[in-house]
Amino acid sequence: MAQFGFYYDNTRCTGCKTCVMACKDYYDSSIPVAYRKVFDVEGGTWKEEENGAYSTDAFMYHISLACNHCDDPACVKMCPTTAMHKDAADGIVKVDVNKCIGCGYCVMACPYDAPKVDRERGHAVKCEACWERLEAGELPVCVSSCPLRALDAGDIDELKQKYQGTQQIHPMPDASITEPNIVIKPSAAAELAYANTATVTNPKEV
Amino acid sequence: MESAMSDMALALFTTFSAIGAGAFLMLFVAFLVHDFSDDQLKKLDKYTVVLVLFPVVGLICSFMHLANAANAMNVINTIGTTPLANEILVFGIFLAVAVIYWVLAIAGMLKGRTARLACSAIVAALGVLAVVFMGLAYAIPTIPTWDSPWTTLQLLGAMLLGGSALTWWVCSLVEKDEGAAQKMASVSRLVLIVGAAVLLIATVALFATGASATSGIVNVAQNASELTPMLVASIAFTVIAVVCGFLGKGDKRTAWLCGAVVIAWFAVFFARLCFYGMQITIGL
Amino acid sequence: MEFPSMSRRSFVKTTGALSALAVAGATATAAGSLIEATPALADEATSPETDRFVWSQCNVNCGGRCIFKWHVRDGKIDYMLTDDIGNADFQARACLRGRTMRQWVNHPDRLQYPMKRTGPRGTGKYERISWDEAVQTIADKLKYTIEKYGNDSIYINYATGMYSATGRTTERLMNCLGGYLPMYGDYSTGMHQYVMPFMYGVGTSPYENISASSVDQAGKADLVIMFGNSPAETRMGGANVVWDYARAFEEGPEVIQIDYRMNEDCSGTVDEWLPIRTGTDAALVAGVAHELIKNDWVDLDFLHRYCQGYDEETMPASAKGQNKSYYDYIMGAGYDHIEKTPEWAAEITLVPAAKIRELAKKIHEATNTFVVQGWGLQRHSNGESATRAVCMLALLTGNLGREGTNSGMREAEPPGAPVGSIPSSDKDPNGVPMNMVKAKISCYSWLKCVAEGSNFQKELDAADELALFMGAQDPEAAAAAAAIEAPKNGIKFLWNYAGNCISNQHGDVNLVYETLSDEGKCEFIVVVDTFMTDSAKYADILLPDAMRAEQLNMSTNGYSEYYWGVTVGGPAQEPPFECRPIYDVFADIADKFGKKDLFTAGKTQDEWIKQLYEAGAAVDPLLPSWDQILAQGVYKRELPTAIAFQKNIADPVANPWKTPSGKIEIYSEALDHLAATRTLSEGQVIAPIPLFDPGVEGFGAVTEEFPLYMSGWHDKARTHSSFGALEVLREYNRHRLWINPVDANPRGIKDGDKVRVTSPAGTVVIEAHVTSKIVPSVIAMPQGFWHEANMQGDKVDTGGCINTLTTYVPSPLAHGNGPSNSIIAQVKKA
Repeated sequence: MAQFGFYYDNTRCTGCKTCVMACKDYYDSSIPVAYRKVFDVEGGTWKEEENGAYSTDAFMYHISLACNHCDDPACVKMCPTTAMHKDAADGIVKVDVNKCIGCGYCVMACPYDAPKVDRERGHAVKCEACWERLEAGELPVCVSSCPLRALDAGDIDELKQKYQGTQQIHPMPDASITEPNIVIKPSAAAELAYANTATVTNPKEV
Repeated sequence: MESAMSDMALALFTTFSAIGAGAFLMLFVAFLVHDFSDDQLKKLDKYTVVLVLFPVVGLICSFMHLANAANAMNVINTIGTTPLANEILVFGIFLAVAVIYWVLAIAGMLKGRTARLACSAIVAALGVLAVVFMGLAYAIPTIPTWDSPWTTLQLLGAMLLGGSALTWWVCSLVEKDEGAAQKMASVSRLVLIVGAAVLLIATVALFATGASATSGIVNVAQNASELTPMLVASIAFTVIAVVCGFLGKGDKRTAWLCGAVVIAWFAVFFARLCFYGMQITIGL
Repeated sequence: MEFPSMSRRSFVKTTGALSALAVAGATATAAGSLIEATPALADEATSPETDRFVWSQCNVNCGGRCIFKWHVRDGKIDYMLTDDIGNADFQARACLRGRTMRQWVNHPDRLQYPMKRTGPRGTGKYERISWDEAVQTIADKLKYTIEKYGNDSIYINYATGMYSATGRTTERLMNCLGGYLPMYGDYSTGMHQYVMPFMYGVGTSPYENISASSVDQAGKADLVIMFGNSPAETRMGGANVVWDYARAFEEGPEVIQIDYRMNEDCSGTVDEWLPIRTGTDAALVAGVAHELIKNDWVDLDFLHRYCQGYDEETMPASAKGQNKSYYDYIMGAGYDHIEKTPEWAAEITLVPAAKIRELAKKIHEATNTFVVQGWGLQRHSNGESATRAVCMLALLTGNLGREGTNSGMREAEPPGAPVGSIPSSDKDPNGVPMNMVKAKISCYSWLKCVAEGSNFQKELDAADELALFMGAQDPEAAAAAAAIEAPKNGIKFLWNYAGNCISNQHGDVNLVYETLSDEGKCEFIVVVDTFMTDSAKYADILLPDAMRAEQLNMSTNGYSEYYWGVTVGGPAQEPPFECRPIYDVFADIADKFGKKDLFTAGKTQDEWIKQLYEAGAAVDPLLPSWDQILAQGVYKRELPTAIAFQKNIADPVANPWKTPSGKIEIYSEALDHLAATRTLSEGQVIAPIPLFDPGVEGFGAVTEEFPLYMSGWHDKARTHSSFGALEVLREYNRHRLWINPVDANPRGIKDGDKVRVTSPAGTVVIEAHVTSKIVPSVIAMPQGFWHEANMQGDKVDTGGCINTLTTYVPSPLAHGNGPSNSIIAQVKKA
């Protein structure tokens, strides 16, 4: 495959975080470290109606993101040691642990909150697309863990053929900045005209 | 608030380093405007260890921030291409040269005004360069609240405010004759005020940018309100540091100036916390 | 070929990275028979450890039984995969909780050895004792209790933390010793399961697929109405109901979620959440019913043909001419004489009148409407009425018995499982006899029974009441019901295996503490668990259980996963420290009475598994052989779809409902009878029709001191209180109280603030989540978080257990846990 990417079905996702926990268990991550994150997004207000009743335009959705293995990754650009690099063969962004100093610049730079510094392990860590499983012909752990089958992964061009979608839903950044390799099927809530008023309500969990 | 606290090591690193660089700049200025006696120079060279300690402590703090300092040599890979590598390089050179300067000085090898001026000038220049690169290292395109000239200006202001206070204090330990040190005092006060102004304006500008940012994940208003005490503290300490500098007269001169150093340090530290607290990316 | 089980000898020699879990003195279970059956494994000890996979299942009470594929290296689990067999759309993939099971199994806080209580009950002070002392103490206490108070004073607490074919054997042990006080009902559906037989007939249960449709039928409807049903949080897992609904929704019906909070099934959807004040669903139904009636949108033919009590035409003789029909209730001619207009309903439910009219219109215009409820709605003090009310939306418009419809009950569950569990009694007359105790209590009444002792009044379940009411129709059942007694001395001995319903999951934790502090009342408590849960703190003897991953395990499809399946596998690692499988512990206790062979029937746990499996395979030719299942680990089979009451609707004469009238009873004479004869506490209502009953601590009960309504929900971070010890789940699913800005702003409460929540029962401190996802006037927090308080001090609960706030008022009919979601409260910044 030329460039690895993820597909994420935002219409099916219930924000259950199975993908988060499956990955954490598989890679034996310590509690604060997760390669995949689920953002809880919500917005909307309430209006009082007659008879003391209420109506609302409240909405909510989740975004499950690991790493988008961007074409122009911010992390690679800022990394001072070239530890953060894009694999030439499949475009997966990986950490060379023999070079990484754990300075955290990748963490700061990434607008998708993808890398983390694992102080116990002494270097940056991130989703590396379960590349060993890919080589064995298997899917990434998060993909095969999802009880809603809301994730897929593989060659990004094939994913774009198979699924229709977008590269960003609020509050993901403008896709033109790092060119993320992701196809998202947006939910109705994410496509609301006023979806950009939504905020992430679980910042301590991501 | 959380990003401010999680970057504590970096806040300490930049505080100590900027002040340290500023102190060496002002040391060069001190040699320019004041005629120290040989005995005074001997004493001054000994006390210069305090100046050296600032970037050294800064370095230690920066290493505490790293998850694996052992791989630090790999930074060479991106010198010229990443701002962080450039910063590390320049700061490293500055620190090394500062140490060398100090060693040469206490070994008595800086004989004569020219040698002293030349050597201290080199250290000073490197220090200023290090601070500039330190600022540029935060010019991260995906963090618009940082990616502006204010980031570097804040550090330059810190450099001038803290550095002038530190060197002036150290000189006051050596030069007891207040009358003789008039020029030194004037220049120090001037730099103190300029540094304070730059630090203040830049910090307020950074704060305002962060408080008016749009973000889907950071509660900008709540974040700003949580950081407000730090901003207020920084402004207050900045002003008090300047006042201490101006009150530094007479018998209690060294005490006032020492106070100015400590307060200036906190002014810079809280300003840095405001900076790190305003880390708001364009996305998540 | 993957070997699902390992030689125990090969375990013993391993060191393992997690040296803390030393393999202490082989507290082995069956080292015997299985090894002989597969001799190739026996010599593993001499060959180097290799990577291997071991099949297992999750054992908690969520209906999932999702499949685990433990990866074991050097005798220790190092990670987990899940069901990856066959079609990706038919895999029992573990949810987020199941994926943390390794951390549970290896948790440093696991109970390690038997313990004896040294401090007051509920304070958690224990000292270590030997297994010998533990077993002897329990046996002595059993003997003493049986002799002094009788077997009916020994109660096996409702507990659901551990499902497995061989896991729950307390009943069997007690039947070897003369029996025990049995219970009826459960904490999941207590009110619903008690009352639905009065409407849909004896045999109606939430646990079958006759009275409810399977989820795929929702995909065939054009309108789906869900009342308080969030499978995305309550039925998680890849072969579970959440997945079934996801696919059904993709078929394109309009889906309306009626819930006081925007539950996770609303994720990504818009305009499909009808926010409603908690506990007022029956009022909403009444408002909708009013519009259906007023606009002539009801299906009169259906109502007259299949139902009793919709209007005067089908009222039974005892209630004729008294304005007691459902129609009379809705239109204001009877009962409270209030016309149930949408305006009336709006004030109670907070749903705007226009939306109520719109809902009625949608039901009218839909060809097929699938009406379904979750179980939160019935877990309210008015649940016995509300749960029937939801069904009215299906009945009023004749949406029953065909594709795309449902009875209004929760979605169907699979009829049984391919294999059985260790029975509590044997068919063999020389085996373990059935329970000989003639008393019975509701599963929720045990605390009352402890407190009241010999004053406790007897309790009958729904089948008993209906049998008595129908009398001559089934004289044998009526006689059996009449023979039921009250326990003579209350409860003197309490068993609690793998459950947290002594305190954490029981109403009014502070009351539990008060009641059980009196050791003269309940004299002896045995708890078996893997952690020091809050309930464990009441144990007099506390025993450490071995977990499923540490034994050969057989488990079947979940009760809510609509397929048949069985998984056999394990152990993946050794039980740590002195943890022992409960089967072996009970065998030791039975031995003290000379009943070991009776209890075990001469079999080890592993031998039971083989026998149970082969018994199932004998009647189901599609099941693989024992050797095959050991090799493949997992067998699954999809079930055909189910349509609620399809046969009854097709031919109501040949297939009547098992009610006194033979029809669906919107009006129930039996309930009318019970309304007159049952003793009710203040505010409790039993009504013959599904009317809106505010309930105790329900609508209208708020005061100046407690001005907010409060409810709980089942959060994804735990299965009830299971997984509650796992920090990782708490870190990624923060425990928060939900509060609308309308209620938070006047209180100065901001998102993330610590707040104090008080109710008439107690006080909880918790983080607030100010959100638009909850209706105003209602606050809510998830159930199942672990109670954490100084019970000898201020009793303020910083762990956030909702049962610190619930009161203990068993429901009027079922004597069930209605108060779970009926709370009045106040919240302030802490």
